[in-house]
Amino acid sequence: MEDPATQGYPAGDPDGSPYDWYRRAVALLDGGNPDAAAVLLARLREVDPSSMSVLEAHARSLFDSKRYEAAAMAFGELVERNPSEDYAHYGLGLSLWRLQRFPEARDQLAMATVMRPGRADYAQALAQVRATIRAREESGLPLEGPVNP
Amino acid sequence: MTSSADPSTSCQVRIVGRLGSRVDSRELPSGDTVVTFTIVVDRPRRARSDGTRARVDAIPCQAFLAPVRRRVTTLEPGTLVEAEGRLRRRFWRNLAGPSSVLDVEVTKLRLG
Repeated sequence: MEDPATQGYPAGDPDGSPYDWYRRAVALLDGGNPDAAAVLLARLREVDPSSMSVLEAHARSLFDSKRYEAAAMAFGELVERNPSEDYAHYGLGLSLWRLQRFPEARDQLAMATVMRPGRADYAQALAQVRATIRAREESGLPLEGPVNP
Repeated sequence: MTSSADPSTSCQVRIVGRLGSRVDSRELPSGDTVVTFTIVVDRPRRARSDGTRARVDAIPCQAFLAPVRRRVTTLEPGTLVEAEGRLRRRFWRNLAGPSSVLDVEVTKLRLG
């Protein structure tokens, strides 16, 4: 029986082609196993650093694994490589929000909302970050970081 | 050899789109002030053929003229604007080597 601690993690190079790895990683991600997906996708990025699909899936897996600093870096790279991709701005905004970097999160979420005005999830995230900023301003609290450091 | 521009060439552009989320102002070593911003333009469905899911083009813009700088800094993200200007390719060098970007130097800006 497979050790649950390493279940889903590749040992060495995984079986199959890089495309098989990608499909497996996306299945792991969609199946609620983002840590295992992140390992596979990190290896894939070494093999194919130019792939936007791999980078996006890796960013998603890092976010779902609650590795928000790494997720912000990956989504930031996605924004840099394709500034017209609304999902990249949204992912970066959510990651910065989790890192409590609220003004930067607001800017990214606002950009995603400008790009896709019809997306309720974008608008809702932006409204929540703006509300947090407003509340902190009214209370004289710092706009970044924890309230009680 | 002449240094004057050929009048039959042009890179004038007109953009109608939504103002992006950030408007940044900075002072150049020359003492001039430049404001940078983005205008988001919806991409026609038939033009989405570059292998990405992008539904829009986020067009980087710069403004040196004071009236444009003043106006753009008063507008909210998402405001529909109409900009006129010229395409400019800018070059610079950093640790990764030489880089360049094509952006629009906006000379007129009005509400769209």
